[in-house]
Amino acid sequence: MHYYLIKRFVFLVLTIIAASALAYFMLHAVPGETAENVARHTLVGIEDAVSEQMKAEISSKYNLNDPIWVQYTNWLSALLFSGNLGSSYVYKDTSVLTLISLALGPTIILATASMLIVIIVGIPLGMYCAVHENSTSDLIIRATTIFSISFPSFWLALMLILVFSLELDWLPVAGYGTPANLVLPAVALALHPTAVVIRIVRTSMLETLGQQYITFAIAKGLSWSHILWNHAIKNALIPVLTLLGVYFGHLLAGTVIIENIFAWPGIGNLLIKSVDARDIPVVTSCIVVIVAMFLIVNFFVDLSYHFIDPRIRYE
Amino acid sequence: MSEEIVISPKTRRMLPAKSMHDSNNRLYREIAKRPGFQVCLVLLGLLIIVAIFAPYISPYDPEAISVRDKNQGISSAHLFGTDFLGRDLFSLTLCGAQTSLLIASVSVAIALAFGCVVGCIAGYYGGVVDEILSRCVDLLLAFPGIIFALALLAFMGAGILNLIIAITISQWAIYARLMRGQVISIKNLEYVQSAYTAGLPDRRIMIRHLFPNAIMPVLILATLDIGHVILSVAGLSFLGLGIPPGIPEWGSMIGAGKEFLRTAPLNVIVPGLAITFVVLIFNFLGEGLRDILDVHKDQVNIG
Repeated sequence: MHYYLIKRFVFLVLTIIAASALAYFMLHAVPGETAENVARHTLVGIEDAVSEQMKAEISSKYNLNDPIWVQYTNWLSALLFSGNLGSSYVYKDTSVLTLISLALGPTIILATASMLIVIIVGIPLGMYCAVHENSTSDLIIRATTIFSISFPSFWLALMLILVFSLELDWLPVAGYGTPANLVLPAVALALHPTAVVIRIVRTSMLETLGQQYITFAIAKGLSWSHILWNHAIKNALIPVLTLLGVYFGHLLAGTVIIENIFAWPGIGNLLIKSVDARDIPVVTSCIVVIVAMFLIVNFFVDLSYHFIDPRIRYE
Repeated sequence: MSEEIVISPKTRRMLPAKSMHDSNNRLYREIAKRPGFQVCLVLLGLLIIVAIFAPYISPYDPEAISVRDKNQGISSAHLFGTDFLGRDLFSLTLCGAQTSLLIASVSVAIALAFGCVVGCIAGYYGGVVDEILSRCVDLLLAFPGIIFALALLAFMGAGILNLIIAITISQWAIYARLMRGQVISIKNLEYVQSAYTAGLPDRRIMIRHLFPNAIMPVLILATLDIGHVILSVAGLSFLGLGIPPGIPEWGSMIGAGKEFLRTAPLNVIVPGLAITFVVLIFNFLGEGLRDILDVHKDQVNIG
């Protein structure tokens, strides 16, 4: 178990580093363009021409003339040894770390709220559908889920704004700070994963309920609710757990669009603003942070299997 | 010389039961049992025809700006109303179908082909080759959702070709992983082993024996994925990263129209419904295929 933990942890760190290298190389592949960008955001206006001299100065200041792997090694060692992610081009040399840490909180709040909706709505509804297989309500819920996975989440977000903010005036259109602000983005983000979770819980629960130990429990005369909540649910939830890990990643990716719509000051919003401004250090760091969050959550999901199902052992 | 081959009933009984003819028959029977699936197939056919002939079918020039007619409601002249520049939303939506379907089908097709080849090689050879290829796949899959495509587009800039490249690169890994698993599960079966023993070259074993028998779940995943990719393309275009302005596309229509949500919600509602409709068709088709071909539920999950 300990050996497995260490192995998994080392692998986690290596994957994050490899992903950061991929993101870094992808975004830093054109050094001349980078220099021009920095100049546009620090020395001259966005539309102005950039002289070759300015480019040369910036290139030497930020070591842009070094081979890309040297630049990457410097960036990585600064990150690992002093927790420094470099400085933003656009926000006048604000450290990227400050920007990221300011944005991390809102994103975590939003993703957690959505995840709670997914779990609280998805699992009970899925179980309900499995227990009442092929009843009218089962059919209605399943039809709703297939519609739900076909909506674009950003469109749903706009429709929610249209109905609940503009027409009914119940909730704020956009912004951050009060719980009321959280409702619409969290719901818009949660819809798609909730629908998938309902379907998977239903399938998995049906499979579990067909197992012999359930039949035995029924024959033994145990109450139905006892069987459901104590015997069936644990086995039924294992595939759901894997899915929740994967869907946490989808939530993170989804926040990029949803935060943009609701002016939510999170990582996704920062990422899109930085992409528009071609603020490459911030873009790289945002992507690395998103990947790291996704991988860390899945690391814990993997570890939690053992606690749900003691039969699963790690070698 | 032409001599007709007559198969006596007795010989017919000795032939393998599952010939190509029989399995085709089974497919038709299964489809015949599912009216919903047939409707979806017809709708898909219509959709493809509409997408191909969109510029000729659409009643107005989708690019014709007429500020005087902007933000009109639904009328007999403009079936879905007009957008914030007075362009006919019905025509724009039709032409948007072309863009969405083209990008989604091309990128899924390339990703599918590449992913299948990589997955087949990784699964068949195993060892170091498998290790290297699988680590590449893991690395790509560490980027959740549209994040990888977004990073690529942030660097390459918007454009149809760039969008196809970005989607393809971020999508192939999923197929490679599934294909690898499929190949590993069948490569030790007797018929593959006998092909190997008979001295067939690796390439031939892979193409003739592994590929056709491993491909089904991957194809179903791809069908389900087209819907998913249409959503991703729309999302990226909505953010202004996918399709450059000037080409009708549903995501960018929503992105541009969201400023007019209060005064002219049709700008947003119409393209959104179009996306939902198309994705719905692909999701139903994928689900139907999965049931018809009876692929095990764990192999392909919608999402």
